[in-house]
Amino acid sequence: MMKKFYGIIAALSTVVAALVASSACILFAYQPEEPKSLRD
Amino acid sequence: MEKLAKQLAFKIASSLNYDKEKEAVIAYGLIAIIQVTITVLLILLFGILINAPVEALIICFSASLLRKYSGGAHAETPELCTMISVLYCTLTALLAKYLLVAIYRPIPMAIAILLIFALSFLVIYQLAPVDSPNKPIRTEKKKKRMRKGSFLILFVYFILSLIFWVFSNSFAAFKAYAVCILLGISWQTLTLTSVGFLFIGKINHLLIHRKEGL
Repeated sequence: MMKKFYGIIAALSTVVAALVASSACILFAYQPEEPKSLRD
Repeated sequence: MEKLAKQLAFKIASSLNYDKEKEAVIAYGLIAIIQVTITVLLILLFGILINAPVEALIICFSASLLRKYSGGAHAETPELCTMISVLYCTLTALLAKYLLVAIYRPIPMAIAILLIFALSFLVIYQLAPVDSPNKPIRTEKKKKRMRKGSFLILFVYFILSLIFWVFSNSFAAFKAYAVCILLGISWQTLTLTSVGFLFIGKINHLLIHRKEGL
């Protein structure tokens, strides 16, 4: 049950990470270090 | 916020047997989800408290959507970023709804719209996209895409401001909405310039480095 929940969170956060990667920065005024696999 | 996102990402990655890179991607996405959710909810809450939730959200989204393409100066922690965003959106929403609308006149407003948009187009033309060391823009193709996106968003805001301005006599709320778009754009444009970098740098210094030094 918990594994399924973690899977959903992992998928959702990966989609958001990919969306953020395609922009100049996160919507607000803080920018964490971008993971290597998301760099262009 | 960042610590919480990293802890949660570690838990998820351990449970699903993901490697370190996948864990970093999940943490990155979680930071964005947590920060955006908390910031928008706080802006909504403070907006309700000052009886100007729509105005506060218009300022928030007009600045942040433009920021997605144009980049700009950054706070050093997500908490500080949230604090700056909530303070700016709430205080300027208050100013827009209770002061600027009271002194609103169509001709000065038209001049303000033209001036602020002309200045923003100029700043974006010269500086955007402004990247950060944590997320450098490496390819010319992406730079062009970000610039194009910035101009497109600014153009849409310009049309929206004109619509609000034209119908401001029929719908009183439109006066505040037009002012709020200008306040959102002004803030975002400022964060692209050296003055904006200096200002956010000072806040970082005062609230983070000084605290660490104590």
